[in-house]
Order: sequence, then structure tokens, then C-alpha cells
Amino acid sequence: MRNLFVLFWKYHLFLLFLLLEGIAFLLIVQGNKHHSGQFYSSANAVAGNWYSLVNNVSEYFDLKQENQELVREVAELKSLEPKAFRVVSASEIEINDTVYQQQYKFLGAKVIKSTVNRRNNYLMLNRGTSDGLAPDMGVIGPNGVVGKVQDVSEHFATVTSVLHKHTSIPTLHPSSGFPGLLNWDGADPTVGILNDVPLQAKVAEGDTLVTSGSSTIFPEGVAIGTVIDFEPKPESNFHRIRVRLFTNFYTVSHCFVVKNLLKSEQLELENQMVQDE
Amino acid sequence: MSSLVIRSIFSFLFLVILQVLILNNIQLGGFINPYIYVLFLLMLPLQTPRWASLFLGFALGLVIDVFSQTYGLHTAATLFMVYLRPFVLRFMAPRDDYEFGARPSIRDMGLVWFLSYAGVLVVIHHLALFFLEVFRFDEFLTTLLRAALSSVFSLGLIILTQFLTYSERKTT
Repeated sequence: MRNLFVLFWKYHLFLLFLLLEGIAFLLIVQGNKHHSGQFYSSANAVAGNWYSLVNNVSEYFDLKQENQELVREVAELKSLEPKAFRVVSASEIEINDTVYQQQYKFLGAKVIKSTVNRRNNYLMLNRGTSDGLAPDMGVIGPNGVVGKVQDVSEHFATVTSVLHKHTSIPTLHPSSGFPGLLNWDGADPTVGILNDVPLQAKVAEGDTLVTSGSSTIFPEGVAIGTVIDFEPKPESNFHRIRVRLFTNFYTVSHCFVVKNLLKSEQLELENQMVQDE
Repeated sequence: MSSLVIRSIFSFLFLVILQVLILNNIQLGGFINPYIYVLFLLMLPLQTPRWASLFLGFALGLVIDVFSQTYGLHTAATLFMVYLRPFVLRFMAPRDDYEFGARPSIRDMGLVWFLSYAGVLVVIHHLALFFLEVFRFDEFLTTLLRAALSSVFSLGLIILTQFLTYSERKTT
């Protein structure tokens, strides 16, 4: 028994190191899951308040460009206003609610922090559970897809952006109709990689890519980016397509969180299918 | 002794704020992120008990993690570095051991000694950090390049900070 204590004492530093390192790895593993623990949610709120304070100052540096983007967006919205349309015939004014059921709701949010220089990048939004946000909701910007909500505290949310190793976005190449998955290889924050588009799809440089709507996260047809170039992947039947992303993650500052009203219904049905197999 | 504690607390806060507010926002070519906060641990007095430096490393890493949304990454890398520090120090000890009360700084130990001491530990820290962040080996060369470039940049900043803050000679 005494020898055991002696042995323990001899290695106590190494054991302490192992213990602390174990805690750190626990945090890493937990962070990689979607719903992380209470500790980080509350810490999230502390850091979130802090960053919104910092953002209040740093926002002023981008005001000019921000204004230009807002003006452009206002112009786009004005063109959708009822005033911008001419009534063609009386019968078209009626909107039949039984035909169109609303599936997606959009909630505007401000980006208070965004990283691009890591392998796994995050954004932080100034909206949280009090605004109805929940993990796994999609996030899109004025230009295109931004990412997916990961953690939510009461007033803030973190978003795994497209520039993250776990992100893969169901993508559609509209002119050929073939789907694929968009990932990021960790190199250039303006370029995504589209895999799984078969070789028989006729891809051209400059083609626009959109979300496919096969996930429950993004609506169909949200812009993602344009094709820069493509090559066949060695020893496979698929293209490897480099995509210029529309969203500029260096400057993104406003975005919209997508609430899918029919998500639980769709997921339930999918789970049923998995269970049946 | 108490002045040392107060100075340490200040340098802890200063480095955390510098790291979180300024350096985390620096992107050079999308590749280089300097992590200068490890300077705090590099500068711990040689007589610091090893259990204390382990706890300090844990706390520092955790604070940086909370403010960078990285969930334990910096904690793990920093702990690894701080655990290896005594071994590096022993390996690099002068022939007649360290003077009592000496600090591992440029002023006390000279530029060449400090450069190799800080260099080894910064590289260890950055390699651990970047490989844990990627957590797989199929981007091995890219990760290695990122770690190497960032190490060089961090080391440069650390040396610069040393010259700016520790240049005055203590009158004892």
C-alpha cells in the first residue's frame, strides 16, 4: 500500500496533467456535438455581451460598404412591393390560402463576430432562444448561404459557417439538374468545393449553384456561388468543382435565420423510414 | 513576491485582451494566426511549482477558448506546452545551472537562449493547436504549413514584446 502511494506521488504531476488534459478533450468532443453543455451556453452569453460591446465600435469602420449593401437590398425589396406591380386582371389579386401554405419564416439578425482564418469558422448572431432560434436552423445572407445555427443562448447564437469541416450543404446544379454536396477544404475562405456531381453532368465555368432543398435546413434555390473551374476526381465518376462563394465571410454583417415550419413533420417521416428499414 | 503576483495578473489580463481583441482578428493570407498569449507561461519564474503552472496553463487556455468559440482546443494545446516546459528548461540549463531568481527572459538569459527556448515551446504549442483543430491527418501538409508560418509570426511578436516590456534592468 505504501509503495502505491510512493508510486502515486512520483507521478503526481503527470497524473494531474492527464486529468486536466482529459477535461480539455472532453470540452473539444462536447463542442463538436451539436448541443453543448450548460457551462458553455452561459459562458457564451458572457462572451456574447462582450463581443456586442466590441462590435458597437468596430461597426463604424464598415459603415460605407454596409450602406451600399443596404441600399441595394432596399431597391430589391421595393421592386417586390405591391406598388411596383400593375394589376393585370382582377382574378389574380386573390390569394388562396389553401394553395400556398407558408413553410419558411425569415428572421433578420446581426453578425457580431465572424472568423475566417481557422479550419473551423464560426459566426455569432445577436439573436437567441428569446427570438425563437434553435440549433440546426439555416442562416443565409443577402448574397447567399452563410451556415447553420449550432448553439443558442438566451440572446445569442453561434453559427457554423460554410467554412467549417462539418458543414456540407446539399447543392443543386440547376442547368443539369444534378445534386452534390458543398464542403470547404480549409484553404481559401472565398472558395468552396463541390463534390459528388457525376461526370455526365455538363458543367461550365460561371454556372450558378443553388441549395437543393433536400435538407430541412435551407429552402430550395438559395444562391451559393458560381463555378470557378472543375476537374474529374481521380479514379471516380465525379467532378471536383471549385466554387466562388457569394457570401463574403470577411464582411458579412447582416443575415437571416431560416425557420422551417414543417421541419418536425419532415424529420418524423424520415425517422419512420429509417426505423422501418 | 507580491509585486510579482500583481505584475503576473496584469500581464495575464494584458495578453488575453491583446489576443482576443486584436490578434484573433488578424488574417494574413488566411493562413497565419499569431498566438502570443503563451508568452505569459513562457515567462513564469523558474521556481514556479509545476502543479501551479499546470493550473495556470489550464486557466489561460480556458479563458482564450471561451472568447474564441473553440471549445477546449487552446486549453489542450496550452496544457501540453506547459507540461513540457520543465523538460525543455532542464535540457537547456547552463553548465552551472540557472542563477537563483533568474527569469527565462532575454534580459536574464540572452537572445540566443531565449530564441531557442521560446521557439521550441511555441512550435510545440502551435503544432498541438493546429492538429487538434483539424483533428485528422488528411490535410497534413497544409496544417503543417499553417502551424509553421504561424509559429514564426508568433515568435517574432513574442520577441518584440520582450524588447518593449522587459528591457529595463532591475536594480537589485
